[in-house]
Amino acid sequence: MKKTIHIPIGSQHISLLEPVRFSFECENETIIKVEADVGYVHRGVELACTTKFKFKQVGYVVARVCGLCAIVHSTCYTLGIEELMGIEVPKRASYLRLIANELDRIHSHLLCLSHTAENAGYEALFMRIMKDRELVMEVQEAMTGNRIQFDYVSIGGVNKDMNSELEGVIRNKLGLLHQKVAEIKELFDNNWSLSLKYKNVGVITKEMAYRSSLLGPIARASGVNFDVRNDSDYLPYSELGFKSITMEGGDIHSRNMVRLFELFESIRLIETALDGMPEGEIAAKVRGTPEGESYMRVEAPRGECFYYLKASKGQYLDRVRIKTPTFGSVPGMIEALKGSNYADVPAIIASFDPCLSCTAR
Amino acid sequence: MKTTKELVTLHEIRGAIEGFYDPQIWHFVCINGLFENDELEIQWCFAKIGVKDEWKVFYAKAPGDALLPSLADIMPTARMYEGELRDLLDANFENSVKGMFIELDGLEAPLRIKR
Repeated sequence: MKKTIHIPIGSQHISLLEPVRFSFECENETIIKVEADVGYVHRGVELACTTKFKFKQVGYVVARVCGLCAIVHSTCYTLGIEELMGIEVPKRASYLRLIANELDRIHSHLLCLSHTAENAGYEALFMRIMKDRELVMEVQEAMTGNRIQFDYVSIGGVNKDMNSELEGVIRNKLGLLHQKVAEIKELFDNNWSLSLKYKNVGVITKEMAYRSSLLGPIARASGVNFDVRNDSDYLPYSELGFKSITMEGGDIHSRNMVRLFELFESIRLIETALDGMPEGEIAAKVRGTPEGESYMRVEAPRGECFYYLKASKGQYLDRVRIKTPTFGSVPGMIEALKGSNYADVPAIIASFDPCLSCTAR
Repeated sequence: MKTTKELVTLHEIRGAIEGFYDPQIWHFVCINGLFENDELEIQWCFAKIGVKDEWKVFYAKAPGDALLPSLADIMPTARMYEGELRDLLDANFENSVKGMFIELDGLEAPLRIKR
């Protein structure tokens, strides 16, 4: 006999890393209806960016939207402002920005993978990945001065140059990390505990991914070849031969594997950027004030991050609109949860790598 | 960057997007909203998949208290942005309710606040 049960999770719950509330309607163990509430940590960033801070300061404010993708927010905002002001960024600065963005992707993906391992009951792997993640955190600190929330990108370029000593540190640590990621990939691919928990669970078909406008590793794990690094020249990805990663399974396992393969691609991109690092200035002179409208997006670790800016030659902007990848992924997450077993909820949510700081901003 | 902006009326927006939107060709980025001179401007933003930096933006202008059409049946993600703009701008989309993005005891339509 079917029994209908209503189960809330959140806004604070042991299986959730950040505050979000889901309300499930289940028939026995199967989820048949899901509702989501994401607005528990709204901080009024968009309002602050137009009322409290001048346009030259906003890049450092939006870096505080999220600790994990600080560099992504400041890069996207800065590119938008540079478009409005007609600033041509030195090529060396673009290469340095690309390296910082890819380092950010590496540490974010590793964090997600560690939590998905934890959700499979594999706590030893969680600790191991978090330990290996320290390699990239140390590189970020050496390059930008901070482990996270680094204020590295500035209007016109970047704030700190690269030297041969730093280049050696990056190459050494990323070489070590490459070996570690290869070992982790073998575990995710072949370990029975992880496969049992993750294969054919939380499936999103290609059609569902298109219909739900899904983005980032979630869409790519469902066979949708959508990556802003392909669809925009915001940083010199095409010069470095960027190749997006796609898989067909659409399940948690495929999402994990896309992230793992993206780690290899990010390491390769950084090494290629170091090989071909152009000489020259790291920042252009900034004169004047912005005017007009800009639609800008970059590929954050979780997918497309979008900024709309409107300015009318003042020190304060008229509008700053931030769209973050997790916010756009919530309808897809709901679709993935429907029809799933209730016990798989923490693993499915973790596989979306949700970032509520970004979402509620 | 190639951005094409098309002005439509609130009555035309559903037909315009139904005729235009193929999710395998255009990625629905988000709904954007502005409030200027006591008037709302709502923008439905799309980016072309597999093409470098090509944007299409449909936009409509409406009085601040107008009832705005929901396109969540065409693009399920629109429901999120409609709820968000309901809270931030008090943009009254069909079937949207307050409280999805900001708690009900939070600021009332903060993006309508003038500097």
